[in-house]
Amino acid sequence: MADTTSPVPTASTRALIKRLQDDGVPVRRLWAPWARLGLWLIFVAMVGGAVGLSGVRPDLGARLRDPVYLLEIIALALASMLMAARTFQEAVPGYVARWAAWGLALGLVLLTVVLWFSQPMHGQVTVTQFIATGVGCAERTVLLAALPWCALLIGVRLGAPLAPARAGALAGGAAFLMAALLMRLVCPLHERLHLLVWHGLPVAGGAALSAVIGLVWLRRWRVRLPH
Amino acid sequence: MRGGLQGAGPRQLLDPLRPVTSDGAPRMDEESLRARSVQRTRWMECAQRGDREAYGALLTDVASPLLRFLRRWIADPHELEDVHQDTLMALHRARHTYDPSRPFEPWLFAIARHVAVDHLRRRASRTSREVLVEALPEPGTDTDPGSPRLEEALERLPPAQREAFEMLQLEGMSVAAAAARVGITTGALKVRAHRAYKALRTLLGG
Repeated sequence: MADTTSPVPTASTRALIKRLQDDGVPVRRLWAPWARLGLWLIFVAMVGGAVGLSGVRPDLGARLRDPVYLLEIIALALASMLMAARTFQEAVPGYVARWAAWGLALGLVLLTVVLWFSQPMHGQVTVTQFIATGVGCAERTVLLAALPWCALLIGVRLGAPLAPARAGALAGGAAFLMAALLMRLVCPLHERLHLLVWHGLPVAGGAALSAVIGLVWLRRWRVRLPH
Repeated sequence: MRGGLQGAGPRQLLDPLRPVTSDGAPRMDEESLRARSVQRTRWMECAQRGDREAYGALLTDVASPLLRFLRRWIADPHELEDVHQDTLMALHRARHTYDPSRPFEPWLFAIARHVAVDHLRRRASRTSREVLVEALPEPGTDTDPGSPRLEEALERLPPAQREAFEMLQLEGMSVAAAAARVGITTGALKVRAHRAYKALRTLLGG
């Protein structure tokens, strides 16, 4: 039979409680995840505005009338926002994502990959050309992701993430998906390998790197000095 | 993305290990438990504003339910005490993340579960990597005459290891209290202490 008696904290635990009580200075409450998501989206919009000022692809208006392209853009945007929302929830203990939300985010990412797979493949491009055109896209993806990524990581670090690697991966996924979306507004190439390698791999690599950073950096909330 | 606080349904607002009587019936009715949950939320809200009395009341109130919860995971009483204290410190460091519009208990027990699982994971990892030195070697009895005595050996330890050893063995502090003093987790403190023991054994020729 299970032991249901009420255990009593030890003297040293009671002393610890007293110390914590004495250290109970006012704290600034963390904003709700939705409020922080809104702030992050404003920040991302500013980055997007900078991209717009620096020049988008000349045929963007025409491309947006293409339902496949539009679907790709919407899928990237929604997947990024879902991951960013989940990232901010990770900073608050006790939040649990519903399977439907996980499924939707994963489905949107898979949809994007499928849409990229459905693009034509240009066999006449040499390896040198492939790399020369692609490296620039990958570099710009990383540059566009950098600030939103840092903002997300700092946003999570302000809280108490219980699964730091997952929070890091989500932050990286959200930021790099948003960067991939912005790159699709800039890059005029519609070629399967180019999209999968130079637009897709930075997203996967960014999420993986972010998971490692999260594991190291985001777990430190438990050892930081009291407020 | 929709997400909810873990177990935010009416029954889960309450302690997951509610006290029960010998026939299994709840000792407190739902109304009383709900009132207690509301009271904890108020205490925490006040604590976030710096009300130390409310904070003390909250910590005292949750200490026993937390201990009962952690006892499911950890049987050893010394480890249980460490993890219990670690949980209270984690609660303290995460108190700014609590949203009073949400139920308190899912937030609290998510932290407790995290600390307990983290402890078990670290213990498993440590056990697989190190042979724990349970007893401190006796200095100066059967050691080589040329070996330094304990004081000298302590001097030769890295400062972090020496500090861990002194707090646990000389000052008699608990692992959690020692970890709190230096601002590291109990797991990290234990690793430092074990490394200190091993180094001392080598230095003392044990």
